[in-house]
Amino acid sequence: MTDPLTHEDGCWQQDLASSHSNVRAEAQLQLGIHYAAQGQTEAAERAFAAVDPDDDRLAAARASLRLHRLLIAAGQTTQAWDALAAAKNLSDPRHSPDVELELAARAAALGQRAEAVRCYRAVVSALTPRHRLGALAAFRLAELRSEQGAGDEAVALWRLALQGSDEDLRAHVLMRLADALRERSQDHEAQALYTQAVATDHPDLAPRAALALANLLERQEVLAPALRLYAIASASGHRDVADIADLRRQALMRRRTRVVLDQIQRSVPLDDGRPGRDDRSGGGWRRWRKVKLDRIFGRQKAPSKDKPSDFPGTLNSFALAINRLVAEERHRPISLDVLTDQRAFFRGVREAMGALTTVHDAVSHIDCVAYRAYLQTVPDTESIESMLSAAPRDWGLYEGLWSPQSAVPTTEHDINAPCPIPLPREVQRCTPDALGAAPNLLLLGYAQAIAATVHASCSGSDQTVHLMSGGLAYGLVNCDATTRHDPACAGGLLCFLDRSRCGAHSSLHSPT
Amino acid sequence: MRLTSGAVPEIAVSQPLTRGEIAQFAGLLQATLGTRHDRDTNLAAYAAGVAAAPAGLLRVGMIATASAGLANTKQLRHVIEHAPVDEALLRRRLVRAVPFAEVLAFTIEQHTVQHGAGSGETDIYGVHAVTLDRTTPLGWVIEPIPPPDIDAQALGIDDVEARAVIRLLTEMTEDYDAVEPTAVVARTGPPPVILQSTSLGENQALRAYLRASIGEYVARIPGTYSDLRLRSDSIERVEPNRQLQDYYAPIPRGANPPPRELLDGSSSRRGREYALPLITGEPVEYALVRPLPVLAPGALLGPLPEQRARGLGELARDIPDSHAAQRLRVADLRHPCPDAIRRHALLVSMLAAFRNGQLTGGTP
Repeated sequence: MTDPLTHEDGCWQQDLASSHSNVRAEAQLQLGIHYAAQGQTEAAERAFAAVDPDDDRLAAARASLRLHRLLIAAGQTTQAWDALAAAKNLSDPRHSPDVELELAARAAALGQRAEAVRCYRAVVSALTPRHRLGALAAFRLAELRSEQGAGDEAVALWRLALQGSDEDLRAHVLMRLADALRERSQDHEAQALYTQAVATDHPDLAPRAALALANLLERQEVLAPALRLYAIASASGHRDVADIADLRRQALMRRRTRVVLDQIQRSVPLDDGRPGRDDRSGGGWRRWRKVKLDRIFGRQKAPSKDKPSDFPGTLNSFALAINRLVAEERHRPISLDVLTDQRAFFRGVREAMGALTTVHDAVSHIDCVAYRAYLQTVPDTESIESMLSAAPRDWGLYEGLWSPQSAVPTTEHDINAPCPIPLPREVQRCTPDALGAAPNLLLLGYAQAIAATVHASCSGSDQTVHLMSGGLAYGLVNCDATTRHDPACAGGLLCFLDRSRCGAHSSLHSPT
Repeated sequence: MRLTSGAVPEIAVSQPLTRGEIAQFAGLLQATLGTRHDRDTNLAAYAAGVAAAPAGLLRVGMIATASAGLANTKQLRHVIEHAPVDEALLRRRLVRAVPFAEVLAFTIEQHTVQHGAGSGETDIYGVHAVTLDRTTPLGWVIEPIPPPDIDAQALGIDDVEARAVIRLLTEMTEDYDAVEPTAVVARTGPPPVILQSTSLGENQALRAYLRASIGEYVARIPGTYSDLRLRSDSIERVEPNRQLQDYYAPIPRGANPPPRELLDGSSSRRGREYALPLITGEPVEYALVRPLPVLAPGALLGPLPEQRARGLGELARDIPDSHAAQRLRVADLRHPCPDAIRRHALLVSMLAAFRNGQLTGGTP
């Protein structure tokens, strides 16, 4: 066993013989602590009892308190209470606040709350809350008063404690104060305090604060930051918080996606496509805003008029163009030849493409992981046939977004590849009749275009347009059994779409 | 992770070498150092003398006697004190025997040799590579106390210790850079350093150096260490000058108390030290651990450092002090010249690795 008298070069031995009384007392106290830690209880008791109050009152007070604990544990209650009384007599809130704090804690534990409150108040008064231990006393007093139902006083004390709290205490104070304010519906201040608590990176409280703040933000419909905070809390690995945060994150993503889809479905289609840049004061912009998707995407400001590529508007514009195309082509099978002749069709596609070319900028603020996660929740058993048969054509585009996960392109494709995106498993299982439902498959393709766009913007890819055009081409290729396996068709469309993005071409080119 | 042998190898230094082994060892030295046949033969004779010498203190004359006529005292004194030997080559030969990718940790051991009243002492520092099945000495620094150089005499003992360990680690790093230039890059980070001596663990200057240069470390410290502030619960005692053991006492039988973060007032928790009981038996041993968990940008550290600290603590617990200075008879040598003691240490380290089968290449 390591003996400090030899191991520490006899320093305590030297100190025990010091001519300075306070050094002597402190050495005696430390020797007792060492014995206690080594399990030599009797030696520890002797060492603590030997601390002479005449040498150092504060050391003696601390020694008496430690002696009290040892005696209580040994069942020597009479001597223990004597030691505690000695500690009280020797202690002084200004010079031994640590003893006062422990006396208060013991009183609180024994149900002597008035005594505990008195001790804590004495320390707060003696040191002011700007002192580290004064702040601790204020914090503990606030806890006590909160338990006694004095909520207002507790909040005031927590605010005081915040003034002098050190690194260790600060996170505790922030959390308790934030919780109390949230219960009082003072969400704004609670939010600020939770944010500070997260910033402390406290191993236990920062993940809790992140979860609480995410809840708060979700309640306020500030969804993107809420999602981010859920993700942070989930990734923290905190055993009590991580799983809950992950569940909340998934639930929010599903809810958010549903809201987006509902909004899209309820949105008012425009008559004339995307409003022109000159139409900033006209009805077009106002109608765009009817969609009110900005709130869903967590944007604080109204979309800039200089940015007509704003995602909600873009999506609507795209949907509008597609709706018009679908209305025109609904009853006719689409083949490559037909497409070539349909200048209106390509104009519409080009419009849609124009709206989407800058989509990765426009949607950069959207957590598109939400969309993918939502898709993962759709059961695989939901066949595309049932989706097609159930979906009214007018909103089939939007229903296409509900397609199973495997319908979403997940990799960037090579523009020169013969088939841009592998055929989804569900489509492969489709009957010829289902494949014959060309308009709906076209819708599916458009839906996938959106999905691809969303996915590409999620992954930060510059190939947004390629992916999106892949989705479009996929839909077009599949819309007619005769062109379904024609690589030239797909490649040509891709080529066209890619070039139309740059404004260099306006007609269909064959792939080289 | 459980090390198969407690990472303390049975290095057969104190068993006499056969003629064939001596010739092989001389060949190994020749292959390592160059083509000075006489010098390498005498170095091998020196090693053979150490292996054959009876237990107890060693002096060069006794080693010569034990070498059974392979070399005389004058020859051995010359080869251990004056002969030009590029010790970096010896170290790098040892380093080559322990691929960087296999190193679990580097340990720093310290042994103090008392020379009697008024004669001062000699501190022997060794750096060792710990792999799954053995501990291999890679380098040595010998520091007489008080230091002979005037400049160093103004230093405190902590500074002298820190200087010695920094030199050890610097040499070892340079040796690995020379032998395996891309090894460090290939790993996610260098292996942790374990300071086996509690006096080294208490050395704040040394720990600061390790924080800046190495990354992760485990520093054994005594339970009486009190110069620290641990993260506490808000209802915990706040008595000043608490000893580390006081935070943990009593440790229930079989308990595995969690590491506790040392508060240093910095703006980030990343890179902080954690205190933990390394061994909870009798006596309890403590350590300061510095974990550096991998963290995504913007993520919370949460319990990751604590978990990593616990892992490092378990690793260190399985790696006890190998007492290489005693086992390799470095501490037995009485010689006034620190450089000679260091060369002796390197030579017997080579011999130990040779007899363990880690070094080959010598021809009889």
